[in-house]
Amino acid sequence: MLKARDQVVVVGAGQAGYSVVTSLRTNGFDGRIVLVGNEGEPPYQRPPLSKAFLSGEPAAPSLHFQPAAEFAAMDIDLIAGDAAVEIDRQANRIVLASGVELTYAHLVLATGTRNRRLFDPAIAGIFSLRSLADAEAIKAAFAETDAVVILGGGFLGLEIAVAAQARGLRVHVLEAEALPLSRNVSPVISAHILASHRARGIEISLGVRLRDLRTSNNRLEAVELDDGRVLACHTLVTSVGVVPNDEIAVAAGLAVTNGIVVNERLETSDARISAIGDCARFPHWMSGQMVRLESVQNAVDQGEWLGARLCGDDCLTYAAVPWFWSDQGGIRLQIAGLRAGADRFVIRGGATENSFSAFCFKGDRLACIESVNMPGHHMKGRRFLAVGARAPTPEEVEAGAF
Amino acid sequence: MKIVVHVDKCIAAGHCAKVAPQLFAQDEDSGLVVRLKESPAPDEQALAERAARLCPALAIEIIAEEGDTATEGDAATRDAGQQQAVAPGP
Repeated sequence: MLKARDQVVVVGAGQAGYSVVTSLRTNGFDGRIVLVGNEGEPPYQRPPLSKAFLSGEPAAPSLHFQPAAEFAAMDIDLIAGDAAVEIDRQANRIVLASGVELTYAHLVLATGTRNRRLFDPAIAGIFSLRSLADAEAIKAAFAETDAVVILGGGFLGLEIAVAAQARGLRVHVLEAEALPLSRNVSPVISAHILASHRARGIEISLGVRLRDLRTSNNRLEAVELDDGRVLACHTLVTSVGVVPNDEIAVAAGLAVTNGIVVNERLETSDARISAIGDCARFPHWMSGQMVRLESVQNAVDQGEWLGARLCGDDCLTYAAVPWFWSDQGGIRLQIAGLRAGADRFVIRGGATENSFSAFCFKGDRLACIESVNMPGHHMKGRRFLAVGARAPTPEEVEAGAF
Repeated sequence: MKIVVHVDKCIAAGHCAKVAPQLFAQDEDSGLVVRLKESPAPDEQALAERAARLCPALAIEIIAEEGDTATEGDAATRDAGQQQAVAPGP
């Protein structure tokens, strides 16, 4: 437990970093807090970047969680625009790129992920969305083109596709698997979303890979696909997954396996260092498996929980119900739980063709509920899957018995 | 100040009801946002803004009116961010 004069250093000023510093103050910690971010911005919302921000629809006044001045009011030192480059565990100290050194009683790594990049960033016309600066660049590119190719049919790629189409662009999505979102949702949901996007005029090619680029004067001209097609393309957005920012933990000798490994208390292999959010791989209470989740819910809940633990609320293990969402132009997709290993599915329809849920089971045990425009089912899922709750069996769901 | 909620965008994250329970609640069945007050009192306006900023789905819109308590805009936020970007001591 922290003492009053301790200093907590949080590396990473995204959703998880913001959550833990807020939680520390809410839970009564009055020592020093330093929040280090590398983007030159106070912490902000990433989810709208691929949605309202990109489609150009009038958005909220600001994506920042709070005005920067409020960090000072909360006695939080916000260092925006510097990066942690080294952890000296013997000295309980981190070193920033600027040379500044910060000592810690507790260190929180909330370093997030970065996009997998496939191509030389020097080629003009190729984009990838992660940061506000990325989103601004893509928005500017959309204003100057009438067509875009999107590589990757995951949540992010499809949200960008919908936003681009809303701006009047011709959109072509390239997906390597047989269905979009195949790693994220059940085939019935994938098929529904695919049909819906095609019906609105988004072109989606499945089972194709990008083989090569054609450029002229270092500017993208066309993409070559592995089925032999060559598509004229001056604007390409790649969304082909992320890699965790765990190098600083590797260099410090912490356990790292595709993410910084933590226990059920979110402690790394050094108990004075915790890791939360997208960068952390933790044992999930629902499955016992080690997972690394990329979601707002995970970042917020782990940050809140860790803040409480560091302030002495020390008796429980982290056990929030994971949930996810994606907003794709008329499709509000909500997922409660984790689908991995599900082998049995029950579909429950709603009032329209565009509203239904897939209840996914491992054997008889509910693993997750995937809902399209069925927020009631989603909320039931969050309750059914909570610690100690009893979830319905496949037969009960089929009979509508809840 | 007027609060507008876009229930079609809401994804039941629940941040609004947590930070401003006097202004927002969640529907018991759907978890979706329920606006408890359209016009927050002067001393509730900062909370309303906070709820709007924290919503990951941008489902809460704040419409400013004459006579609102002073709030900070984007420009102020960004400038202050740069001023804040100084290294604290060890």
